[in-house]
Amino acid sequence: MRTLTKLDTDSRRARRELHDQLQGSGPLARHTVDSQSQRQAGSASFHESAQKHVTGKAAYIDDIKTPADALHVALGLSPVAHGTLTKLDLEAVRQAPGVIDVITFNDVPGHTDIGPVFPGDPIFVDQEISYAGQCLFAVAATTLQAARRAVKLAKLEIDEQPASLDPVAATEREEFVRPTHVQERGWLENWGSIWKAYASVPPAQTRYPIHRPPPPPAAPT
Amino acid sequence: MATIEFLLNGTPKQCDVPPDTSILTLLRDHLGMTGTKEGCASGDCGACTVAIRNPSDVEACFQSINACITPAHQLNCRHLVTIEGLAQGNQLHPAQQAMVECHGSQCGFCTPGIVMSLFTLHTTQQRCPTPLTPERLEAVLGGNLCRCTGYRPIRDAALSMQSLPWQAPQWFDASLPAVSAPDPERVEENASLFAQPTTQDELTRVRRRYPNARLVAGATDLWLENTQRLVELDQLIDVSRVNELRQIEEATFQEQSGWWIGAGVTYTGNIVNASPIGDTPPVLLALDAWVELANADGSRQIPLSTFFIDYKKTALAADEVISRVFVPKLTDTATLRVWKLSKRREDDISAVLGAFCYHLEAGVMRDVRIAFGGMAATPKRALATEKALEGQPLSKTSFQAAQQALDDEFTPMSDVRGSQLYRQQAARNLLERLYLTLCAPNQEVMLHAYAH
Ligand SMILES: Cc1cc2nc3c(=O)[nH]c(=O)nc-3n(C[C@H](O)[C@H](O)[C@H](O)COP(=O)(O)OP(=O)(O)OC[C@H]3O[C@@H](n4cnc5c(N)ncnc54)[C@H](O)[C@@H]3O)c2cc1C
Ligand code: FES
Ligand code: FES
Repeated sequence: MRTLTKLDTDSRRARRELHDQLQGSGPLARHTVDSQSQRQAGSASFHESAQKHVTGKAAYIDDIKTPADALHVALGLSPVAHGTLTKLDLEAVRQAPGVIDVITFNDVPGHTDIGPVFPGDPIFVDQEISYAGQCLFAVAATTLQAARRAVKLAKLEIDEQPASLDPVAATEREEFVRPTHVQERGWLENWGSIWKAYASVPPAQTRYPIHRPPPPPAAPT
Repeated sequence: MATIEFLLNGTPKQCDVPPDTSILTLLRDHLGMTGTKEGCASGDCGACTVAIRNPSDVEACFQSINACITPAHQLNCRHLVTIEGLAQGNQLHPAQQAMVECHGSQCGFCTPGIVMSLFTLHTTQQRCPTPLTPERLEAVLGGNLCRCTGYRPIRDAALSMQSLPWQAPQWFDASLPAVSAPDPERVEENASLFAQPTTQDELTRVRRRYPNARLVAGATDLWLENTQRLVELDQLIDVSRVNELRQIEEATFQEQSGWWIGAGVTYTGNIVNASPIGDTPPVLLALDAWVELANADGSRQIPLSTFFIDYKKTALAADEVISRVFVPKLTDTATLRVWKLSKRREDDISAVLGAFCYHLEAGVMRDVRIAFGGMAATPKRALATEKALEGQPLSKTSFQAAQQALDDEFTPMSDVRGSQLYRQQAARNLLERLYLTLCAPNQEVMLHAYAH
């Protein structure tokens, strides 16, 4: 919550009073753990990679040495959040120094939808742009700088449509990402048989404890 | 290509890299030292923090800098310490040890930068121990973002590292033999260049000889043109080592006492980039500062208010540099109040900034000078608003008139930092805040709760 507060002139004093709340000056975090024995709940162990982190020796993808002839890829991204891609002229990109190849949606031979759980995540924009930064094309060049500079030469034409930024308005317009899923509480016609099925499994046959549902509520009269 | 000679973790190095190479690119791409990370490449996150010191200045401490936006050539004759240099064998530096013990890392990507900021703090504390107040820690670590750990373990590391034993390695105070820089006057006009003049005369001559070269001071603005907009910076003239530009001199100018401040410090970059949302220009405008523009023939002085012509357009001619800025001293009775509105307290650029200079004479406003950032294409004096308050008693009516005048004289733009309406309202509110502050001189009106 925002409040406009008048503080005493002596704002130093005021700050001092606020000190505990603002700066979190409680005990040191590691002192809050108080346990004698090792490796059990309540005792802290150092992060197994901490030594590597603090010495700069932890290698991230970007730190892996590239072969001398590695190509570098830069992506051309949508500058708008919503619209239709009407023209993608990549001629100047192809001609740019150091560029080896440029690909778009049409160059992908296999699946173009890479949604990991549900479909709906195209690897490149075909026509419909659904978020700012969505990938339009990719450039491979001899250096990263060359690839990034080449990306800037693309000529795009986009029929821009309004972005959907207000969740309430979007709900009213029924702009849902996934089909509506409803959870309801109440009487289920087959409650009795579900419960019977659970109750009949002998505990010894299960690897995990079964949470048995409560007995069915009385059917409405 | 141009040569850099410097010390890297105590070892002399010589490298030939193009003028627009950053320290980060030099380390990661040319020297294969990948301990220093690239997070944002725009000076925001601190993942690339390294420490730098002038070995010929015995007084100088190590300073943290963002390697991603610092020109590699500014390393000339400097000592660069990176994350790879801290541990001696298996013996971690206290900043490293404390980060391990306090659980200061999770994914670890920000950690090298944080350790380097702590390293500079540690060496400064070794030289002159000063209490580690929360404000001081904020200043030291304010430029380091961590997305996973939370800052408390990191703060704990900062507080506890001083008690760990540490012996400075022998190379710590290593010095560098004098470097002979190539004479920029001999370099061909179109050849790539990183000139580091040491006198103003040399600077203005080099400026005239290379009209297309860009001047660079702290590089925190210029370098983004390279890392973000991918502009090639093939000819650069570094103003940060010019002796005259590093002086501060008390003086009387235009019948006002004040200081001439040499332009080798980074607020000149803040003026010359002419950004409408730079922090110092409105303050300097409210103080009625002047700038001195110099070329190889001489210099001229103009009021700062006439320096800004239009969006990113200034009175600086192609062969000129800013050599000094005159900042008048506030008279005993005058007050300067500056309020900056931004989304974060640390490391953020303002949406609106208001600077108010005035004195109260028997309840009447006198010598009112007001300037705003973020309200026009340039930092700008609010002349009509000033007029509405000048000679007026401290009253609701006079401030309402001033708010009306403010509305009439500014039509701010809408952008990512604030809409036009927000900016108009916020600027009006700053006048309101001034009024409330003046009405209750013993109270400070401030917003002390954050938006959650
Ligand atoms: C993460 C981050 C946060 C920032 N936050 C803020 C902020 O809160 N407020 C703010 O105001 N700014 C901010 N900035 C912008 C920048 O830091 C400032 O504008 C700074 O003052 C620029 O100074 P510099 O020495 O780094 O300039 P440089 O980048 O070296 O130069 C800037 C411009 O000035 C010119 N120039 C430099 N010296 C001279 C001279 N003597 N004569 C003529 N021309 C000269 C250069 O050619 C260049 O065009 C931020 C930048 C970053 C990267
Ligand atoms: S990489 Fe983020 S500040 Fe340098
Ligand atoms: S540990 Fe992951 S960002 Fe700091």
